[in-house]
Amino acid sequence: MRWPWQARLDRRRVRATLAAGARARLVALKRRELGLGSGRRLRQTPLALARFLALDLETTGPRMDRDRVIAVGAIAVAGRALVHGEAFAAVLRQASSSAVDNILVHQIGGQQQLAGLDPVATWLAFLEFRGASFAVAFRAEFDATVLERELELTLGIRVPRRFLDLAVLLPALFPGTPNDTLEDWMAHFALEPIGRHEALADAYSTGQLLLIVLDAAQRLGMRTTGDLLELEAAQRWLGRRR
Amino acid sequence: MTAPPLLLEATLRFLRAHEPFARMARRDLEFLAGRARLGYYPAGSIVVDASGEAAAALYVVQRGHVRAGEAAAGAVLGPGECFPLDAGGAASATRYLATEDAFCLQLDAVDAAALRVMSAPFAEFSAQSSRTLATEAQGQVHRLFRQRVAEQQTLLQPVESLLRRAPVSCVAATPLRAALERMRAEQVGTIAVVDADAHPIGIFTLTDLMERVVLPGLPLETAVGEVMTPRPGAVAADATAQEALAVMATHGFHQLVITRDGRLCGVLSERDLFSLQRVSMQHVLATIRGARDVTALWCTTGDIATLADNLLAQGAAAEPLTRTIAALNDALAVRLIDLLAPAHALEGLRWCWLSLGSEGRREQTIASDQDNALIFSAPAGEHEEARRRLLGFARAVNEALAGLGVPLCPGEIMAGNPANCLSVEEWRGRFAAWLREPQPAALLAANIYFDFRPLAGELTLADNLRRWLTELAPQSPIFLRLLTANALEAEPPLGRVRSFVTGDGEHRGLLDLKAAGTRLFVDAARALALAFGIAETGTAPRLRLAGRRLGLEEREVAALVEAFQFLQLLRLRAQRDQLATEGGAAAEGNRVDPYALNELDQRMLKESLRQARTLQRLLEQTLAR
Repeated sequence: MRWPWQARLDRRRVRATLAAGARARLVALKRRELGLGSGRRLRQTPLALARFLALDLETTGPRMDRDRVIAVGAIAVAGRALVHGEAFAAVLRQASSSAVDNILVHQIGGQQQLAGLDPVATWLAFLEFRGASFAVAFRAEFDATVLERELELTLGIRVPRRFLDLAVLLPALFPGTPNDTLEDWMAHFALEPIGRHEALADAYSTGQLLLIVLDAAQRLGMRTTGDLLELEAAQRWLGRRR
Repeated sequence: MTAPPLLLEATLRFLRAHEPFARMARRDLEFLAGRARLGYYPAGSIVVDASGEAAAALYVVQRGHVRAGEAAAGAVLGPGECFPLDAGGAASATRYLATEDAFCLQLDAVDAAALRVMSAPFAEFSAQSSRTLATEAQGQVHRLFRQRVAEQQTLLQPVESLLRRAPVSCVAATPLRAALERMRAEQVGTIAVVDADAHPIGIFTLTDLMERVVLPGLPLETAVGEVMTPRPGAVAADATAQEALAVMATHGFHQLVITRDGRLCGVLSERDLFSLQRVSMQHVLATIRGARDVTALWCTTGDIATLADNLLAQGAAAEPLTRTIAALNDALAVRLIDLLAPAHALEGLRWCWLSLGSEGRREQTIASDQDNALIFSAPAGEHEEARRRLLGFARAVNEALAGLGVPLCPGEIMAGNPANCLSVEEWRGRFAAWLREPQPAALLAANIYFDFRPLAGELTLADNLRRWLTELAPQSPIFLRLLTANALEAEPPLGRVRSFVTGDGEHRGLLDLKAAGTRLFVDAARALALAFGIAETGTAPRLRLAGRRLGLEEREVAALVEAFQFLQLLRLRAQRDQLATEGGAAAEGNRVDPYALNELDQRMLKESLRQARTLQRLLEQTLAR
């Protein structure tokens, strides 16, 4: 039996294991970007001024309740452009390398996984890089859930879920297509990914599609990130995938 | 924060496929890739209004197309092309519109300025001279040719392919006098000595003659067998040139006998091995001028092609190159006429051989067929007799030229056709009819006559005709208007969306470099030349003189001429490639798949076609109203 407060205790235990420097960075993060009230401000930011984070996570498997993150790729989208100077890519060190079939998909070998970056330092750097931005992902629920659990397990913190889901927004703005996957949508707009099965390459694709989404949304009179969230909610309520 | 390697690599991969990035240092490209932003511009949106300080920024089309300027005729830029500092009309355009959904990499003005300081190739490119681009493309053409020539000369081809003629041979018992007479008759310096079964047993050369016969004072009745070099170096016909060279070098032989199944099939001299590499203009000209018969002339046609290849490889520009080819072909035709004239009893006749069309303009390509005519002057009443005699001669020349690889004109525009063998008065009448009562269709067919140039015979006959025409043409407004309308009929095959408009059906996906390329320049230049009373027949000289009359800047004229020459160069290249791969059908070499050209050539082609459009506008403004 797991008690409701158990999770909070677990997080505190994790935080206690962190080095002093890491803890100080966490506090600064929390004060600056994870603070209360910033969510509302974010939602009201005009789309033209908003900074988004196109994000993709590669995990040890498809189960969002237990698979771990192998690699993170992200690139900032600001001022209607992908900012090359604000891109993030990291392969995380794993306690043990993931199953062989998964290695084949992500092309991140066991050795590379074991030699990856320190998770604590990486996630801290990621959070600092992310700042107060909405993350945008394709099938965002998966990335959001995995990310939240990862942050709980390594840093012992909970972050507000600030995600936009392209898999929902795209069919809302471009209805009536048979597109299903990220690759489908890339092909739909005649775009070529910059790489295959790499977190950053998928993040870059996500970013390019986001630019198209932002343009289409503004044509429909949407002004803020909040409008996009409403569109996403409405589309979910309609239960439409396409 | 520096960009992750994957992102840098992907961006570099894209950039490096295009100029000027292909030539930039990795460090500078990483700077660009790391600081760039990728913007999205839906169709119809303005990418940049470069009237302000944004003019200093750098945009590179990554996907889709962007048009320079408001006018529908503005240059359309595709992936890899940069603006606003891009070459070609950038100075005039201030706004750039996405003509379809486009992604552009962009670099802020500050970073772009930094890049200009860091990277010389980029700075040079930003100086936005289309001349730079032109030179670069030509440089590339030349590199390709150098490669081809190198391949051709690789000494890996079988020696058999180097043999130019059947061997001259005799048996050992042949008296020296008879052997030497054979050698002189065949114009060879080496005679092979064979036994009854045609197995080579010795070799005798003119050098041997001096050393072993003349100086020792041997009589010419001596048998060749006594003075020959026995057991000559021999290689099999299928041995490579390299092996032959090795045999020569090892034993100090200057000649080798080539055998097939042990029997003599050729004599190869050191010169044969090297001549491929050392065909010089002077050498070819001297060979042509010294040719004693049509067969000897025939041997030189291969040299002309080889020389053309070598010249391209050495970096000759299109104009000197085509002029050289023209000069050699001229020499060939002149020599042929000299050789054939005596047999046709032309004494007492005043005639002049005329080159028409591309020959007349000195713009022959490898696939050009014959376009020629005759003009003659005869006392009244003797015209038909003169024509009859000249026609026989002209037909012989036409056929001999065809034998030398200059195809007969399918349209019968040849001196051997009675309609093209006319007296001075008849030619004047013919031109006068075109000038005074022009018919659009007839005029189209008559185009090539207006490019006539004297080649052989009494040149003043043609010069006078030209002078007469040059005075009359500018005073023939209807003729000039129709000529202009004809010249404007064909539009440059530039697309609104795709870069190039290509053919359909049989020629699907292909662009005709002649009909949709060089011809636009040729026709416009001809119309301008006739309107301004310019006697020149070449397109480039015509454009230069007409440009002066139109008050164009030197730079503008140079751009037009370069564009024309680039198209000529592409044609030459396509034709040579076609000949090399299929051994014939070079006429088809006028058609290329523009999208199969490399990036730089595509851009140059686009720029050249834009220049064609500029020229057509000029012509329209000058003559169409």
